[in-house]
Amino acid sequence: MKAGRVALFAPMAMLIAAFAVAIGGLIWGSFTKGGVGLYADLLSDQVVLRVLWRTVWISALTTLFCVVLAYPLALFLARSKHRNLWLILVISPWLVSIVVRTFGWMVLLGNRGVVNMTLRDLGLIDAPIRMLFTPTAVLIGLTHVFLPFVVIAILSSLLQQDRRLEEASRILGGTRWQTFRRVTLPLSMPGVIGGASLVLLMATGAIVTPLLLGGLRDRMLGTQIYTEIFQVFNFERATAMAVMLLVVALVLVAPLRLLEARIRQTQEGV
Amino acid sequence: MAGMPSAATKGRLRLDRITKTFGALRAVDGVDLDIEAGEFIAFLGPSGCGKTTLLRIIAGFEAADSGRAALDGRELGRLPPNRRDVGLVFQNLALFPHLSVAQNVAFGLELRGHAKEAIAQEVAQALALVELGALSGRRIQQLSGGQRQRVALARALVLEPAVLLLDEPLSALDLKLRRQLQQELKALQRRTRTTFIFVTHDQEEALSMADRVAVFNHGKLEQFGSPRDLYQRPASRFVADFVGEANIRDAAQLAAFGVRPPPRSLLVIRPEDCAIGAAATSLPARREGVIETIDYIGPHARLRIGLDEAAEPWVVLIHGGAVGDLAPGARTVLGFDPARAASVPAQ
Ligand SMILES: Nc1ncnc2c1ncn2[C@@H]1O[C@H](COP(=O)(O)OP(=O)(O)O)[C@@H](O)[C@H]1O
Ligand SMILES: [Mg+2]
Repeated sequence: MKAGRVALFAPMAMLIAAFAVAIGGLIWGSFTKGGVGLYADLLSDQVVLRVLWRTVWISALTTLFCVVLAYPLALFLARSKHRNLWLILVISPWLVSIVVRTFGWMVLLGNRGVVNMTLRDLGLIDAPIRMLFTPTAVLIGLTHVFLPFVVIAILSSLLQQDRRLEEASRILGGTRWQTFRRVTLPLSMPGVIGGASLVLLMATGAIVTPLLLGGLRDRMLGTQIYTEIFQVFNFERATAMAVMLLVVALVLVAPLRLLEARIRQTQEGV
Repeated sequence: MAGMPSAATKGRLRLDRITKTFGALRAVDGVDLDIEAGEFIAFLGPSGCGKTTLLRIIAGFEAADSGRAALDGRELGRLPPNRRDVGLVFQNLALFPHLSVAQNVAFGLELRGHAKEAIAQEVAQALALVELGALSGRRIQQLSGGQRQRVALARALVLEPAVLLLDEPLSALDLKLRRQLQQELKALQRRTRTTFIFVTHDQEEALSMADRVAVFNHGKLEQFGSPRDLYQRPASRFVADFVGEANIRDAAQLAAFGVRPPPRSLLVIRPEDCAIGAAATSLPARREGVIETIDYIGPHARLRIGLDEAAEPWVVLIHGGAVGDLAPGARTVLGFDPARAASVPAQ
């Protein structure tokens, strides 16, 4: 029994230890080799600050879009008799590599892409609209990639809800809309916040989508780090940026976690 | 709850051949009921006999396949639950976990757009009615089972519905609390003069609380009558068996007593209408049997008496002191008065 447990947790413990050593070493190195000056340099670099700001607002908007799009979808799934069938459709993109999915958007959004060609053929535009390699493209791509996570987070929260609570609201005089506003929605907030936190974390650290759809001009922190490592080979700077990324992610997610903790406290145990 | 009516002015419910099937299952099968305003009605029947389904049809959560329902002359038809003037206390209560006690009770009033001050006052009155005034700020999770029960009641009653439906509201509570809440419910119903439809599978609960009891079996209404009617004049073998204890015997089994039931009927002889030993000698129908078991229940003794090996033993309820020195295995005379026995159709 005891030995079995050790055997179960040993690989996990090793992974965690390895990560801790590696990450700790990197952070330690960024301070010792580069020193605090490295961070001061970064924070006074206009390019880095723009990347930082872009990372923040693109992540925030991606999260917002994901939640707004995912909620109705999750609600539909929760009510559907063929839930599992629809669920397969929602998560089927996971079967396709993220690179391939992102290329799909390149095909759609490029200057000679499907969208521009269609608009031109319809006579709506003369010159192609620039969509690829813009923050908008990154936003669309990220929303697409992360949507299923939020759908599932919200769906699980909706499915945990006691349907009798909605009926209670109805018999107390609530219309469908009032019932949604006062019962279904507030009780699903843990799912919404959980999903939003997940997207926020993933979006701030995203690399592939911003790289392919944002191009080299409109970088995000993830792509910037990628460039520092694979093109400039400046590991210290990359590490310092990674630390920045960590801080940004934590700062963005912290209020959500606090909100979730508060909601949990009020709803626990029933 | 301002201006609580002293006599019931609303809450007359008529059900007309209500039927509901789930696939091949007839959950509710042609139920007719006429319930007067201000009555305390119990729906009684074993688990799965369709009580909840019928309640949900009245509430508007399920649509009947056929039949009609009318409340105070108004056809309920396809009216949504929020427009029926019906209250419902759910079996699991379904209190809102994200709201406080007071907010739960205020929920329906807010939906109706009452003024804030009026709501506060009505909530306070409703909570006082169920003796929860001190707990209005509590969260639901902080309440005991009995207190939650009362919140659910206050939440429904504050809207002064024409009919309040209660789906086995006490079945999850322990016996002592259950007894207490039965009393309180009864008093609450008298005070508000609201029509209560109380669902239970516990015949004792139904008989002790309701003005009239509707007994269901397999979706069908077996009998609708006062507790006394059900006990003394059961309409079917099922009712005789389900409501109270009974010795139900056919003509062949009664022949040895020299008793003949009406044609195609069974006799229903209540245990307390039987006597043994010397007390039995004055009764018109008698036979000798063997005492199989004696159980003392408070002041009473419940005996099982076998007349012959094959047949089901008779159940007899007598005063504990009347047992004397009889013990299991002893022979005694069992007697009853056929004139006191009810008869029910033999299927
Ligand atoms: N939504 C449903 N779908 C299928 N069968 C149901 C549904 N609701 C109830 N039933 C069936 O109908 C019968 C009556 O159920 P119910 O009204 O809950 O009984 P009770 O409340 O008397 O225990 C049961 O056999 C139950 O399994
Ligand atoms: Mg039920």
